[in-house]
Amino acid sequence: MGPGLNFESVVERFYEPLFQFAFGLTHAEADACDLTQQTFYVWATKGHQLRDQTKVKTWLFTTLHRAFLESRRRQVRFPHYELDEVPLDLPTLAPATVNELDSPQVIEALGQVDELYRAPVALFYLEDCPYKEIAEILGIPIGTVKSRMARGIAQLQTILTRGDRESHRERQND
Amino acid sequence: MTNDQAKQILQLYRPGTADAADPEFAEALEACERDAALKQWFSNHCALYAAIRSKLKKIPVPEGFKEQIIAERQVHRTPVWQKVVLAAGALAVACMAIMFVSSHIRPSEPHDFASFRSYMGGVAEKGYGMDFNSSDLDAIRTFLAQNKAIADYVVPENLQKNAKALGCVSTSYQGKSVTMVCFQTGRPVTDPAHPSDLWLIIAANTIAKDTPQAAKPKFEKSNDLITASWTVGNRTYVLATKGDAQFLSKYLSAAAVL
Repeated sequence: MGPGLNFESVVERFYEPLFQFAFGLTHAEADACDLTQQTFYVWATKGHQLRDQTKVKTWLFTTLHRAFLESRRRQVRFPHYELDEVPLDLPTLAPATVNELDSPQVIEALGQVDELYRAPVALFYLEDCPYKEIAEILGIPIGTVKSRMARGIAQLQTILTRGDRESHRERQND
Repeated sequence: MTNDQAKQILQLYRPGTADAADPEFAEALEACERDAALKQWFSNHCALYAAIRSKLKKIPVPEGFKEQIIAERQVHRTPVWQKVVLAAGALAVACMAIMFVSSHIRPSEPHDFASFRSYMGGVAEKGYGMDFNSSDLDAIRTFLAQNKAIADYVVPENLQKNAKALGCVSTSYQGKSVTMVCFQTGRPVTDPAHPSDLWLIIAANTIAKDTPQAAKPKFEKSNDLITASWTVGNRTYVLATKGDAQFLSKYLSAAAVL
């Protein structure tokens, strides 16, 4: 670990965004805790190998994402879409509608997004990383990052719209 | 750029991030400024992004989670003393491995007699610590015998007569025992720390594969020294000094030289 990068300071800085990312992926607190713990364990044992200290964040998110994929033992080769192949089918969702939702409802909606798109969507909303860094974290080309994000965002907004309709219907029935 | 193309690009735009500086977004952002409908769509996109982001950012981290991570780290951390012990062990193993490998792969030193003569000449010339100081040849032999060094040698008669014994050194060459008896010829001593200037070196007659087996001395130059080598019984002798063969001959048996 380089100078100024002691374990405690890295944990202090990144445990929260890492946990939130992990929670966005797993949709389960215990799994998110495990992934975050595992990421910091790997950092404690191998972090000293990282020469460029400005890459700590990317390194941690990459490690967490890999651990997530490994935990799922994904054997399926996912199709890659180019961005221009992604249909422009974003549902109409008003910001006010989202503001009315509880945080757990949005988190739950993210959990319903196809697993393939969940990590890009989580990084889209939770982190401000440049697309190049997101591509590094996910280990896929930028074009694929963007196509997965676009599809994932569309899925999330569809789920939120559907949830809004259902809750609206429930309110009417009451 | 059409509005649809602009929307396709801007749907991945994140307000308040470095995306604003991305050239790919820049053109689409410019398009927004020219079209009111697109601008409205973009405004909605930014508000929606902020709304979803704020909800997701509220994912609660379990209480005490940070402390738990740090505590786990301390459990897994190897104590310093353990690291020192491990490092010392690793170092010892590495040293042993290096010694083993070097002793096995080191190119074998030449086993010829010239090498032996040259090596011992170097020992004589470059200095050594006398194991036993005495001008008494009998005392020297006794000392060597007591120390399990080669002591069953015969000192040439003329050497006994014409040179003064100073002491002896018990050493080895390629694991084989070698005795060196040191003499002073009477020439002026240039280095009081090393008054010897004539050396009788005695080894087994198997010290080298081409050890001369004749009793008659064979004269050879070896570096700065003139040497005479011969073998009697199971002992091979080398008498060495600075000078020439004629000078050295004075210390050898007349019969042997002839």
